[in-house]
Amino acid sequence: MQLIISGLKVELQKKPVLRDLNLTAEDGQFLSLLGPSGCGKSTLLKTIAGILPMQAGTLSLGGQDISQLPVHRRGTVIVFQDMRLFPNMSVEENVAFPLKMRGVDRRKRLASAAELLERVQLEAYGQRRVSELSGGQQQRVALIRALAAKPSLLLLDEPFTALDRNLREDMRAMVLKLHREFQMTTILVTHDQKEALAMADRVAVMFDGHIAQCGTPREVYGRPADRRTANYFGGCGYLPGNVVGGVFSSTAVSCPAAVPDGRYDLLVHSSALHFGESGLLSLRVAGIQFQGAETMVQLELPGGTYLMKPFSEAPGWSIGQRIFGSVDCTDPVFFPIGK
Amino acid sequence: MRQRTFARLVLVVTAVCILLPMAVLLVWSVTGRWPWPLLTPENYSLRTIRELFHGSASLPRLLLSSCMLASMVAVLGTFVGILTARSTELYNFRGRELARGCALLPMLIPGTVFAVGIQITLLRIGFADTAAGVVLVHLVVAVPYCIMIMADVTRAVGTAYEEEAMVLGAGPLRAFFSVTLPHLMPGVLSSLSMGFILSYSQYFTTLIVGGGRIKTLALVLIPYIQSGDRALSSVYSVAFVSSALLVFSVFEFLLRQTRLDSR
Repeated sequence: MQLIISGLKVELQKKPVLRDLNLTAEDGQFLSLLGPSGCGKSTLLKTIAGILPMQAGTLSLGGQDISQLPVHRRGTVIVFQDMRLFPNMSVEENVAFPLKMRGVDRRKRLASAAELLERVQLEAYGQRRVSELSGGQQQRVALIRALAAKPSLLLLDEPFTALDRNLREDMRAMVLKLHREFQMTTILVTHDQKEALAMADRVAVMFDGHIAQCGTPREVYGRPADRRTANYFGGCGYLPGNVVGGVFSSTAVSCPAAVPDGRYDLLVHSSALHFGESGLLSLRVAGIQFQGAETMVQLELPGGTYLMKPFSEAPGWSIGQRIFGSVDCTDPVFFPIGK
Repeated sequence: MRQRTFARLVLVVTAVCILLPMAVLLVWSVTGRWPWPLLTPENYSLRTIRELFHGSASLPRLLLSSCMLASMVAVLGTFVGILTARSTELYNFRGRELARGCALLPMLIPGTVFAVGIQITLLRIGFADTAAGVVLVHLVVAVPYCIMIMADVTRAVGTAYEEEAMVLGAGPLRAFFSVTLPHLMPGVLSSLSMGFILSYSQYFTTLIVGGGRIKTLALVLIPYIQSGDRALSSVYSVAFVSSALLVFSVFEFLLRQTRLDSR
């Protein structure tokens, strides 16, 4: 179902947390909500679910205004970071809980629970207590319990944060698989940029209680709406220069610019930097970090900003060395200086 | 190692301090005559046992009235404790700290002062000399303890599970009974046992408010102690302590069962 949020305002202890927030998630879409800690992501999810009250705005799900509906009637289910599996119930009773609340008889709901457990390879764990499961197993149970409720909107509040890296990747794959199977509108809250870009159909970047930009992963990463969004993704630096008559000029870089005349910073992604003797752009190697599968090199650009560029093999440079390169200006992004 | 030995020693000394007087009471319960300085009774008698079961203050009737009164106080006190704890621990409202303080006020007032004062009000509203009046007064004594116990447990349990139950389709009441109450059970059982024993052991308030018509084991016990009949007062004391211990044991068993279930 389509979710439309408009003009949402939420206060917690009289302090504004969400400010005039607008967001749309299309039917069946996987939307990542990305932003730093404390920007209001979890507050937004809880407000959508009805756990927190809203001071102003509208919430519409499938064309119906849900802002006045009680929590248990909204059709929105949250999977929290701490999973919140009920310790007084077995694994299958946890999974069957939403069905019990809908009045399904015991035999049918346990059969449905067993079927769902089989989908996540936990069919042998139905009788166990939740405390006997590992973190990854608990996360799978929490997911299928949410799906057992047949929600119109699935909300995932940083569900992978507590898991180690390998488990996190397995769980991401599982969530995407279940999303494809059940085709429900899903919002994933995360502060992990790679996770947001890799999993979602659309990414909404959030700062200070409002949505800074919403678009496809390529749009949001490749053409960030402002510096803050660009800086949040990281892996980029800036080249200062001037735009005159629709042309941007900087040290060793010149390209068309569809912006008014003035002083601008050209956003430089690490992927747009190329190295070779013919390059005119002078860069200084500021740091080298070996990270296993890749080596991260910190480069200082003219103008004083830094960016991190990954290399599959160490490039053989030393710290402090001057190297020359060029910038691919196929789709340039400019930010006015001083604003 | 030394700490364990010391702990064991303290345990043994405590047990002796509790069990030795109990043992003496048990012997006195079946004593005919035990003059000083004899170390054992001169003769034994079942007079007190007969009096206990067939006398004017017979044990079965006293146990029934005491247990019924105490049970009502325990259940009502725990109910008030649960509701008060929910409001003061889970909600933020103006005057919350004042409410928390007021809930504990009855603990500051001595029982005798309170009983005499409340009797005037109970006389006016027609509750004096009635079981309902006794329950009400015992409730006022027990409620602060029930609130304190339930407040701690409610704060520890929080609202996380209840919120999850509601997003999964449970209405507020169903969410409370399905997931919150099972987690509150250790506190509920503690509150019930505290409420029960507080009411069970009330003497002065029962005497004043009940007007002598409402007879409980505690009420009957004190005059026997004052009468100087050691044998009779011993047998009633043993009956009082044993019945209280039995109730505690039941609560302790139930508490262990809830802990095993939630593991």
